[in-house]
Amino acid sequence: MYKLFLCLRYLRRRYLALVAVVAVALCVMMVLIVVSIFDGFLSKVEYAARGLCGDIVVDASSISGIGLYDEFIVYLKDEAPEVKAATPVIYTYGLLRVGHQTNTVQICGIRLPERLAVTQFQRDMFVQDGWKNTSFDPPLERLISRTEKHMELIKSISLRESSKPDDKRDEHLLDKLYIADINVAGQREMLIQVSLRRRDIETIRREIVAEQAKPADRRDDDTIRKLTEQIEEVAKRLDRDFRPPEKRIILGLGLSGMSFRTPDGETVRRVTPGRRAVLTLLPLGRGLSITNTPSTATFTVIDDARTDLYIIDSNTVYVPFKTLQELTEMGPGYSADNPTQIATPARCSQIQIKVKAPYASDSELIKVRKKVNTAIKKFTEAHPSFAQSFSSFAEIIIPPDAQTWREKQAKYIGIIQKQRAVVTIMFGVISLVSVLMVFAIFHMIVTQKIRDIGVVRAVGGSAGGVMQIFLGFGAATALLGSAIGLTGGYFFVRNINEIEDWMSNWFGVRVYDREVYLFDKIPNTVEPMTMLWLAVGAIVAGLIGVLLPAIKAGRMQPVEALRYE
Amino acid sequence: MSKRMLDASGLHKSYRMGRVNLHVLRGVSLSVEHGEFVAVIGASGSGKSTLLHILGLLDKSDKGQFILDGNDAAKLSSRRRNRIRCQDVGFIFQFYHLLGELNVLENVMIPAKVNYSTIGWIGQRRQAKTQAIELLERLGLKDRLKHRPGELSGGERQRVAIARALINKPKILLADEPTGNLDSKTGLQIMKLLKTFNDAGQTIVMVTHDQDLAAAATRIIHLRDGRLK
Ligand SMILES: Nc1ncnc2c1ncn2[C@@H]1O[C@H](COP(=O)(O)OP(=O)(O)O)[C@@H](O)[C@H]1O
Ligand SMILES: [Mg+2]
Repeated sequence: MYKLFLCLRYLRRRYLALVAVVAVALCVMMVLIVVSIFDGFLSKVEYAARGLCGDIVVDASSISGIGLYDEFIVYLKDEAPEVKAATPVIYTYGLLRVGHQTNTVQICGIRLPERLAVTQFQRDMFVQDGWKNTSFDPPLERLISRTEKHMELIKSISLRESSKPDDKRDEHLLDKLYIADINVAGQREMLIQVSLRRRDIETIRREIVAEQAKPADRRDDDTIRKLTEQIEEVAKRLDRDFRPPEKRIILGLGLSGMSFRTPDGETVRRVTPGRRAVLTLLPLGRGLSITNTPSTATFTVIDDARTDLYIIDSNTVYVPFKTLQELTEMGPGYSADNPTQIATPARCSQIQIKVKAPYASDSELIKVRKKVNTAIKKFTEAHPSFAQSFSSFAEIIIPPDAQTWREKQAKYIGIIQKQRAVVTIMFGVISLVSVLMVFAIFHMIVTQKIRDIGVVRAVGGSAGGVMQIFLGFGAATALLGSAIGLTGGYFFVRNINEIEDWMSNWFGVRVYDREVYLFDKIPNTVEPMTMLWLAVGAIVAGLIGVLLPAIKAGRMQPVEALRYE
Repeated sequence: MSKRMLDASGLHKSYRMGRVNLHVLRGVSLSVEHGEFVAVIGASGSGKSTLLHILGLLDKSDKGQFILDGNDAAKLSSRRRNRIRCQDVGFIFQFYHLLGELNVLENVMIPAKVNYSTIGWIGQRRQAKTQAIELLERLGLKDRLKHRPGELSGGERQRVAIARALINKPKILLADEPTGNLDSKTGLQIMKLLKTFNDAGQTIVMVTHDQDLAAAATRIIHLRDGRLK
């Protein structure tokens, strides 16, 4: 009984112990903050990576791609009932020109809305944010309203910036906002023109219907013909300015020159729907040879999308699958003798697979991936053209390879994981300081308390009991320290963005540059397990620190303790 | 009560200090009956504290036999020694040795807390507390229960120490120069207190270098040259 009583009483009255408490608290807080933020980034990146490519990815083993993909998907769903959905994708590289801006881009040919069942493509889009049926053909009214809303945003940012005092105003930002405003206004004007022309067509169509409804003797076929011609003319112009769905493009939000971020984290777009974009790419569907000539096509920007992975968003554009298949010459090849007979099937470069919810865990996913690979082997045996490569030398058949999303993104995720490990180890080493602090402080406390030890022994306390008093004291110190540290760290992480705002207001420096990172906010989640582990770690560290002083206290001869001056 | 309270014969104790062997006790023999108040008088450095520590099972003699209340000290496990120290022996020291972080009442209750496990303590707490308060009242410290030792005078501190020594109703009270740090008037008061406890049946062995203080005792022995005379 006396042990607990004494260690608690010492904790309350020995102010030196509070130094140890503070040391432990600071270390725990530091590690909690670092681990939480890294974990936050990691889970964001993982979430983004998984959202990007689905659960399992089947990559073509050669530049020629994967044939018979639709047939394979049907086969795969039979073989592996864990598979929920799958969609073919084409990847290639090219040049994107918008206005005066040219970017090298990765072009991603996707089927919408089919791909939505596999990836989280619809997240964070400009026009179709959170829509169920994201497509290359969203309603025009929505395009206009979103564009107008964006103009309001630009205006409000300009207003905010220009109302700042002279020395704080960012003239460069104001210039950029001005240019963005002009661009977006022009694109809105274009969209409205399109809308008006559509209405024109509607009106003429109604006139035709009215004319056709007249009795034959009063009907003027000439008028109908003229009106029809008018429609054709307007439609032609419409197609040129605002291309049909197969010629539309979704930009990655992060392509340089298309948008920028304000220091406060707002994304300002210069390129919004309605803008024209030209893609130039080398069709590699028939293999690589010097006879390849680049194909060029003009698209209308219809939306922009964001995966949260800067490396993706800064260089990716999305176009309809079919369109890209044609541009890359990955469409079906017809036999030379009989132009109606397909000699080589149409191809894609990747198949993305989503599994049913119960199989989404890492370990289950690996099992499913193995199944997919088995299915690939069997399917390749039955249909060699699935994996056929158009090499100039020989026809080689290498089955494509399936990888889980984690395997596929290991490169990116691995970097962050490694960084996290390094930083955690670093802070762990720093935390050794707290062990040393506890050791030094308790060594002092034990020295100060030698006479008390003698008294406790004189009234019948055992050597073990004396040791336990100090072990308990140390554990209580660590417990209190980690409780304070965890509470402090928790509130720090939860409010990290506010704290960062506050710091930037006071010191004028942004630690977290929102123009650089693609995440609007610093991750502010704290895992309960992290807290638990840290508390356990702190207590173990505290016990290690107090162990030697406690042993020393226990070993002390009572007589000598009593004689100690 | 036919047994003696304690029985020591031929106790030797020496300390090694570097190359010098300091032979402090050289064959001490002493018997104390229940209810006695024995005063051992010796000069400073004569080995009084050493003897008292051996009698209180805080220390071991190098040679000789010591029987405390029928227990042969040489044959006791350390567990038993702790237990006997807690229940049967009360110590008073020259420098009081109160725990500075605890108030008066808490200091007095420490031996009672040592005596019980956490669970046992729950049942005993109230009783121990009443006993402690009663003792402190008898020692005239009724108004000082919540004070810390630092706020008390020397005489008051020693009275707290006496209460602490007596809380577990020990069979023997060992006092090591209990008045050595007090002025003579306060010292006499403390001696009177010890006398009243002895009158009530408490066995006491006290060591002191002050001839006058020993007057209260029922028997006086001198410690000289490592032997009792
Ligand atoms: N642990 C020890 N190591 C060495 N010498 C000691 C030790 N304890 C006591 N002594 C010596 O033994 C002698 C007797 O000490 P003590 O019993 O305290 O005498 P008293 O209490 O009569 O003053 C002293 O000379 C003292 O210095
Ligand atoms: Mg002494």
